[in-house]
Amino acid sequence: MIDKFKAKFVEESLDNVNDLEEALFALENDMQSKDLIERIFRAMHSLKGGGAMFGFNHLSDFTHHLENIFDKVRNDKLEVTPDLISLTFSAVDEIKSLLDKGDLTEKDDLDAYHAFMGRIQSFSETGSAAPVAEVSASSAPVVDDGEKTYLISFVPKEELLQNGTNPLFLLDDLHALGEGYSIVYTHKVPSFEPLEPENNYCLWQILLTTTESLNEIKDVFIFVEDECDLTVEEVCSGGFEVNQGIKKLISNARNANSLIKVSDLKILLKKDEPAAPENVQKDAEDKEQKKKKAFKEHKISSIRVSSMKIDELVNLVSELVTVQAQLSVYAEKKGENDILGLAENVQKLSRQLRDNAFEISLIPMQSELMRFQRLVRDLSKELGKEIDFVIEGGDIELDKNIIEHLTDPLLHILRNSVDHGIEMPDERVAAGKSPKGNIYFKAYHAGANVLIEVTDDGKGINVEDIRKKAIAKGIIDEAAELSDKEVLNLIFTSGFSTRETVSDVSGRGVGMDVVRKKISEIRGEVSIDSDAGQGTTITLRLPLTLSIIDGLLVKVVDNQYVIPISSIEKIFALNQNQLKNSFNKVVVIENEQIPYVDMRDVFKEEKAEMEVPQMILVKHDDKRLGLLVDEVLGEYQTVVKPLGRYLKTHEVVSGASILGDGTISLVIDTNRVLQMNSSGKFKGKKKEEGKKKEEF
Amino acid sequence: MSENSYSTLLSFKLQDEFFAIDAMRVNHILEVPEITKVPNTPDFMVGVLNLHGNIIPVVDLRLMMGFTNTELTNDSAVVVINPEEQQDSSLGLIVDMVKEVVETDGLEIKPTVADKEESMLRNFHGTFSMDNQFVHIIDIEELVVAAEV
Repeated sequence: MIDKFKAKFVEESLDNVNDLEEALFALENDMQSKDLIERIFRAMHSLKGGGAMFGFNHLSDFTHHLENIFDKVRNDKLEVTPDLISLTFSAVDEIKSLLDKGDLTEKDDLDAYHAFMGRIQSFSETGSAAPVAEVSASSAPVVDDGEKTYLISFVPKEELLQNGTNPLFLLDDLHALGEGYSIVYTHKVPSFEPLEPENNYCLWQILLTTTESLNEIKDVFIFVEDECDLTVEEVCSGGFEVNQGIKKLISNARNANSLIKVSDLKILLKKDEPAAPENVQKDAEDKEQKKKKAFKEHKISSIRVSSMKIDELVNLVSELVTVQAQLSVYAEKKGENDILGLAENVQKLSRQLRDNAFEISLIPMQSELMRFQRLVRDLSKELGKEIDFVIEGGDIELDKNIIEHLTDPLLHILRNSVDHGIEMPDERVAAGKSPKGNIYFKAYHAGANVLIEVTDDGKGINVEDIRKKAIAKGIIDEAAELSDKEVLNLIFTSGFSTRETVSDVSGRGVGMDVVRKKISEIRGEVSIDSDAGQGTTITLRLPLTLSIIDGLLVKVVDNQYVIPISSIEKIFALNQNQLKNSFNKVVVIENEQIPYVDMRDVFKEEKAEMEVPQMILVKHDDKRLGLLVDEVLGEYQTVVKPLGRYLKTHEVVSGASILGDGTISLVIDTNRVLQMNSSGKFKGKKKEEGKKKEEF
Repeated sequence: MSENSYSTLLSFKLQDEFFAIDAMRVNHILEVPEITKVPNTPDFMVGVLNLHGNIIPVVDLRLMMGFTNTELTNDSAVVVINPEEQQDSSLGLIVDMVKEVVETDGLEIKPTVADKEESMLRNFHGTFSMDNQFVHIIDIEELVVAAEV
């Protein structure tokens, strides 16, 4: 889990780094731009914050100092100079490397890191004292005149220890003179048996940078002059850096059972001349170069693409699926084997392509869950309620368009749960519950759908209250006989809001009717279940994707329509007698009474006798309805296109799909047909007269 | 009524009268293709057509303007407008004949005198005279609002 977060952080940080680099390039051309400086500062700030949060401590420290510089720039205490920009550029590389490696453990890296850090710190400090210039001087370590580097080869005799001399003290003394680097050679140590414990078998070479004279160095060994072979040779002026070259030299010498030769060292350090202090920088830069390279070789495991591009891809794939359907129709008509085979291959490929493209457009809900957590936390604090918010199935993936449409309704549902659902702690205790309320957020797959349940263990909804209120508001008739579930679902009707006083929290003008509207816009459904005193569950049923559906093509009079297969339970062929004998538009099939509606009534078409009426049994929740159509034409995979804003509010048709031959067929929203049927709309205003005649 | 930014107009004929709309909002002019009827919509909403894979609703501008003859002839055309640069705002208009593109420069545009009672559109951007014919400039915004069912 943590790794996942880290990976995500690195990914995001790389975006920040890119942004930073971009801004730097721009800043190079326009050094006065406040906007750019702000942008750089912001990028650094998020790197710092994120770094600290995800345990990239070095990164966080590093950017902190960098940020300090830019804070000064921002406050006009420091001017943007080319030096500053190049320093920042190399800092960006260091940031990349830090992102790549996480916290540093290798000594090498650490040294480079600290060296760099020193440069930045000194820049930050001196930069503020003297805004311009001096930059290059201050960014390098302080150089004193007369500083020289010596190679001291200290080869003690075996008897060294016998008169009480501790060679390590001598080394300490040496290091006190300046910057030193000790190399120990142990190749003279014999194997265990001939080893004389009182003998010394080690020898040392020390690279020392000091301002002291040659004699001062020799003086350190004054007491052991006779017990050792000592050579002190000058290597170069200025300091040195223990780089790869020197290390290689050391290991070569060790392998050859010999010592480093001063001539070799001279060559090595001369290469980096002229000025020794530059070495430090150069070496560091060398390392950075290497790191940069290593970084580039780093495999890119995920890329970020603008969502527009993905939309376009999905659109194109949808088009392809349409064209492929046309090809299939054509191939079948031609009946030639060659072209049939080709058409089949194209179909197979386009299906795979489609599945792939849709997978790309799916994103996990995780990203939105933070907001929900925040909402519940903040709101419960504000209201003085104690709530445990448990999330399950946050890794479920949904079409990003669906997630976009989902956030607002879910926020509202959660707000309702916190505000209306969960009681105050004392109320809860009085009701025999734990003072702490629970809200469960659960997402899971169910067939071609994703279900999201929001459950609270609050006070629930009193069905009688709803019924009374619905009657008072004229939403239902007093005589209406509705199941508890149907009554509960009334809260989704527009003009219904359960709380008398609109609270600050829930009553933001978004009622449950809007929730339902929003959810149905993404072809989802919302239902509610509640036990008074026990709590409420709101369930959202969502499609996995928006644009392609498996549909059944049917014919109503002369027009073709698509019914989504996901909502179809069964298809029956009826005979006229069954319909004629049916009372109140109910047919009995397999000993079950099934209400039906004639789609010709729904579409207000002229009615002729149907030869063999087909009944499509559709189901939503626990409601079923038969849709009577003239003919079932077949199963099609179709791309659903929106009808545009002019027909958006259409009651029955939710979209259109283009058939293989280029003609359009409309997609029937079975859920809406069901709802309209149960609210009596078809019987009511539309078919008033016709209906009466038919019934009796 | 004269604060409009258009400089060219597309004029067309509805029955015996001429109208014009901002030519920059016109995307396509098509022969009347096969149009799929959408049930349960007002009469003027003729249906939807397939334009390069996009679904475009089509209204019969003649009915919206209060004319009654909806016969289609060889001259009949669908003018596809895109009022707001968004795909979902595209709308097809059935007209009896597309006439020409007119530059507004040098045109004397006068306020439109109150028009037909039956028309769903009443707010015109003005009227100019061309070839001894009055041409009324349609307000696309009003048209779009009226076309929403």
